[in-house]
Amino acid sequence: MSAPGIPNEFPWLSVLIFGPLAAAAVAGAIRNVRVLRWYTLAVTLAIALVSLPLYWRFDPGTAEFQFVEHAAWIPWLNVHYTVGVDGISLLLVLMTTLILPLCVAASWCAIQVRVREFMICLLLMEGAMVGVFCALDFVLFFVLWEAMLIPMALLIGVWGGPRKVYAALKFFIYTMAGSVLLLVAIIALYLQTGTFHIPALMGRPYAPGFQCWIFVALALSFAIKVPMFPLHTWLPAAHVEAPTAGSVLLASVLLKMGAYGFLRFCLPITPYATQVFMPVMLGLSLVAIVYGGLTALAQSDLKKLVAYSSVAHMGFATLGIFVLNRDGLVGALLVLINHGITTGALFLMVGMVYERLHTRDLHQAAGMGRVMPVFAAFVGVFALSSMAFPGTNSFIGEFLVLSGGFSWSKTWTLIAVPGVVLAAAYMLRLLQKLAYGGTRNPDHSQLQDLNAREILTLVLLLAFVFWIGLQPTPFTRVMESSVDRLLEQAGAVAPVSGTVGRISEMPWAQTPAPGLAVTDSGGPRSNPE
Amino acid sequence: MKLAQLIAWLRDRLRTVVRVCLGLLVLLVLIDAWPGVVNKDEAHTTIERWPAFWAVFGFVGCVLLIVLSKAFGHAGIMKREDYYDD
Amino acid sequence: MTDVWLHPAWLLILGALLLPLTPARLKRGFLLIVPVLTLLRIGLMPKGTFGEVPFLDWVLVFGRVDALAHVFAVIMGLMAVIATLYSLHVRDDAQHMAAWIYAGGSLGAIYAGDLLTLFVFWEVMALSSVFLIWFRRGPQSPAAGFRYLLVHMAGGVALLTGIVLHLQATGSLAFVAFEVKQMTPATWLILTGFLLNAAVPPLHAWLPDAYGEATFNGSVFLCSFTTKTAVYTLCRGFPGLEILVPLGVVMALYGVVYAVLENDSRRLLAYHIVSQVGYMVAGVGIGTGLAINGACAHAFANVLYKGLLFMGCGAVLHMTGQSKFTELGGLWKKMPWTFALTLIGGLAISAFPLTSGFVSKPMIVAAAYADHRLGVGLLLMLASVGTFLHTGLKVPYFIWFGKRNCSESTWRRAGEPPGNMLAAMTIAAVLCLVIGCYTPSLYALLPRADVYYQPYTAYHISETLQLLLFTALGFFLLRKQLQPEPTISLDLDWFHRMLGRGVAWIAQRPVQRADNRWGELYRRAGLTPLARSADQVRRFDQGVIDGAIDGLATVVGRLGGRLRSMQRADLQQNLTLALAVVGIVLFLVYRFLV
Repeated sequence: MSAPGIPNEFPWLSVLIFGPLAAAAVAGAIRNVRVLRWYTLAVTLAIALVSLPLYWRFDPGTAEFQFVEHAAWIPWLNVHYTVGVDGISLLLVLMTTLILPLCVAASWCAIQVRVREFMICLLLMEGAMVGVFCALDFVLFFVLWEAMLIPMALLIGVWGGPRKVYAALKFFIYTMAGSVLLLVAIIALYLQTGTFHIPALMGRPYAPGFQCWIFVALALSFAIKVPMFPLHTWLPAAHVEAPTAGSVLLASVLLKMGAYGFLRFCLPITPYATQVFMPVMLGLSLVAIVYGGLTALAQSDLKKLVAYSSVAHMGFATLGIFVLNRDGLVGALLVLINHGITTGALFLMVGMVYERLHTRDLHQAAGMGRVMPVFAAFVGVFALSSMAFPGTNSFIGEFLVLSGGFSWSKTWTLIAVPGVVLAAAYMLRLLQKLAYGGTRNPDHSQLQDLNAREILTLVLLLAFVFWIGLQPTPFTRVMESSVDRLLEQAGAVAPVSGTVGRISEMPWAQTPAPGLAVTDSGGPRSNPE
Repeated sequence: MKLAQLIAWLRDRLRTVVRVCLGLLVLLVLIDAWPGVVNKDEAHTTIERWPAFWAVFGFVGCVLLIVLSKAFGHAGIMKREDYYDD
Repeated sequence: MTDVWLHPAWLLILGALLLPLTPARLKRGFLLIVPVLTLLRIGLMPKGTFGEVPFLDWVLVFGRVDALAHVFAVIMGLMAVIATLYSLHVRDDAQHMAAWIYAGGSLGAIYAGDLLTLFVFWEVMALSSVFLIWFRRGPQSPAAGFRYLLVHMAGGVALLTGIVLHLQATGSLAFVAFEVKQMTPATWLILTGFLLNAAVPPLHAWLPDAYGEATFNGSVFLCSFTTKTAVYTLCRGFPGLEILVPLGVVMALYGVVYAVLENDSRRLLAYHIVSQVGYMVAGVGIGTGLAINGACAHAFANVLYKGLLFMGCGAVLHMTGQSKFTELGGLWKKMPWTFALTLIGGLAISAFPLTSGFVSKPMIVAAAYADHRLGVGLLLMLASVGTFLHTGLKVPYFIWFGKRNCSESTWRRAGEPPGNMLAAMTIAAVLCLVIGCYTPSLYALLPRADVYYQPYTAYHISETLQLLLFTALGFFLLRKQLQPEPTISLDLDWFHRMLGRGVAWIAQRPVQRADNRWGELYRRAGLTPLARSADQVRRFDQGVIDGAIDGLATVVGRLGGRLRSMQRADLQQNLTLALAVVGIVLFLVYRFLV
């Protein structure tokens, strides 16, 4: 709709990024806790409403970045403030803005100390998260990526559970380590090309060795975030100790950034390296699917169970990304959205359990559903969604990922199939324990069922579970052009509707196709565009 | 209830009932053996045409099933009822 | 897309959702009306293709109505009416809802014209039927339901994988007969999904496990829908697949053998379902017109008389709380009508003349003979012997006659069941007899209209009567051998129970421990050495570097002190001394550095 450089009629994205930041500053001045809560809720709702026109005004027919804004920032370093969305990031931005009000609502009663600082953290995170998905300048991306870490670590470390400091530190160190590698990659690319502008970095003929190093640096950093096996161990600790809103944000948005990083950077900037490392990434994805399922089955801590299920679900997402065909990519994007919705809802519900029982142990919570039928109904639906029952959102995503996987390799993708059964197993175990329990349930007769606030937070997510499940076209429609463009950039055969041709041989076995011509490039290039 | 009374009535005359049934069985075999009464064109194999073949088949089959099933069961697959609870 | 087409399944599902909202007075009427309306809708449905809905890249077909779908839909609708009547007095709304959604799912699967719609309704059936097990709320119920659901989910995954592969290979989702001469991995997987629901060994163990644990009315629903819908899908998708013939024969005998050993009456009937479905599977495998007609007719009749048998034993369970033979016996005095109706069911299932079984099951045997499969025919006849033996003889005898094993409380509770249950059973029994006596009532529905079969020949009657009555002779002579023993029989569910425990163990011990260790690695190999080396550096910093600088500072300080004590009080002399020092320094600088 708008080419880079041409100003938009209204700075939608800047409002979404700086709006929360400004609101956070204002929040610093509010003393009354009640006013503060309502204020934050109102701000996040307003931001969510402002983000909705992005969907309607989005042109699905083009893969160009839209709503682009451009301003000079540090001209002598060639760093600019450039933001824009395409089919890949649009839904992620929308999910971020829509889930924040739910986080605020979920923290209404749970957070009682330092409420002001908490709300400020939430708002800062919102601005940074939206910015990460919109950023088209690498430095801007990195700054916002880092900016997100501190409020998150604070959320865990200040308002978390008993081992909060340990968890916050672990989260911080793991992600920082990745960020260092990310910085190295950014600088290397700058030295090579002279620009930080992300679209300009794509599709260039970098040397194969250079590509591989860049890919490794980027991939490690994003793999920690996703989290991919074996770099996943920070996730259970972080989830268990974080407050509910923190867990929801972590699961619904932060994990997606890792996958987004693969889609935005690794595939289009280093396509040769992507194809070289494809087997490794696919193998790790398959392992994550089965491994996450097995470990989730063994858990009796509700949050750890859902955390490990995230590892398994994100395994599906990375599987879909790295099979490099259309079904896989669309499926992966759907998995990302669906996981955000479903796992966010599950964490919200675990938070509700915790608020009542002050425990997250499955055996202690057994049989709650018998006295809380509304709760049981919601848990039932979200558990079904998590195990990809047809009619729910996750079914479409996993179906497409499996379809894409089978296009790549029938035998290997069959490994993912037990993962689906494992997902059914651990979710059914969770559901059965929570809803029915066993013969020796603890006494839950004093528990209150869900109140209006809690029901409201869940109803929106419930609506999406069924909407995406039964009518996914509005969601897949916006992705398609960008996915096709991404596939071209990643060096896959241009897709025809439905299944695509396989990327047949590995690049080392044949001379590279034109457009991927590998030249040994010297110093930085001149400014593009 | 009428039916219960009927059954009680029959049980009181059990020996007669048994004799009637046995008579029925003999009649059946005779009808089958009598040439011309039962059209055996439908039978596909020669042994089926033998008189009272199916009677023998039924009786022997029944005995065989009971004996073999019990043997199979006592060979190890029948277990005490709380086998799976541990 | 055609104009609004009312899928009968929606009637049931909508009814299920509206049920909790109906006022209590109208509930009974509502419970009766909805399935009747559904049956009417099914009966009045014209043939054709309806309900095409575009979805992503494909077109889903919800209503493919032809003769094959019609015959199965009619019996499912009929059974829904009878079973709902049977459970009319149950006050728990949720049970009715689950049962109706289950029945609706079955109808949806039968009318599905494409594989994706089939799959969706397949899963709906699995999920709604598990509630019929859970609602019994016994100590075993949660675990039994869990096992059932897991097995069906696994089957569903196999089906889904097959569908995806099939879609990739052919680009089409249409649910039509597959190429049975050239089975691909995709069609094998789809077949596996169907076979699991049809309870074909080795995938059958879930059936006795679950059906014995369900509620007394839930079992009536369960026995009718899942397996017969699977038979429909086999008829539709794999007619003439050779391997189904031996599988069917093995099934027929396997079920009979295990049924002889069973102590629990409803588990016995469940094993017997395996046996009966074996006939149908074999019929599908033979694939001729007569065989397919036989499979459909047998399915139709089977739903009725199996349902009747489950209703009878369910009535016993409901009234006495017992279903095991070792706890029952001699009940003829207390529950004579239940006995009579169950006996009719038992006679029907054994294919006694004048019953529905007589006009349906022998079609398959006749088809086997016509196809020159003599061994198959004889073995199926042997299975018929076993059928009569345990369902026609053992069940009625050991529950209503024989040694009275009832405890005092059991005996006191025993009595005829409520009127609605008897009415439902009577309807089913009457239908069994009507179909048996007036064959066009069933034959008009069968898909292959060009096939002719006449069951009432002198030979056939004679053959059947001899078979059955001499079996009865054998039973009465050997009934001591058949005395019930309080045992359970191990079946292949041993494997999947142990597998389930094995997977849970693997998840708990090795995987979880390894993951914990890996996570701890961060602390042990990462943080702790990091902290230790940080400590080392600190010591180095404090001790060595700081120390060096401190030491240097001390030296300088002392030197300064000495210098201070060297100072004269005199300003002139101080100045001279200072200038001299500066001069020497400058000279040295000039000499050595420039």
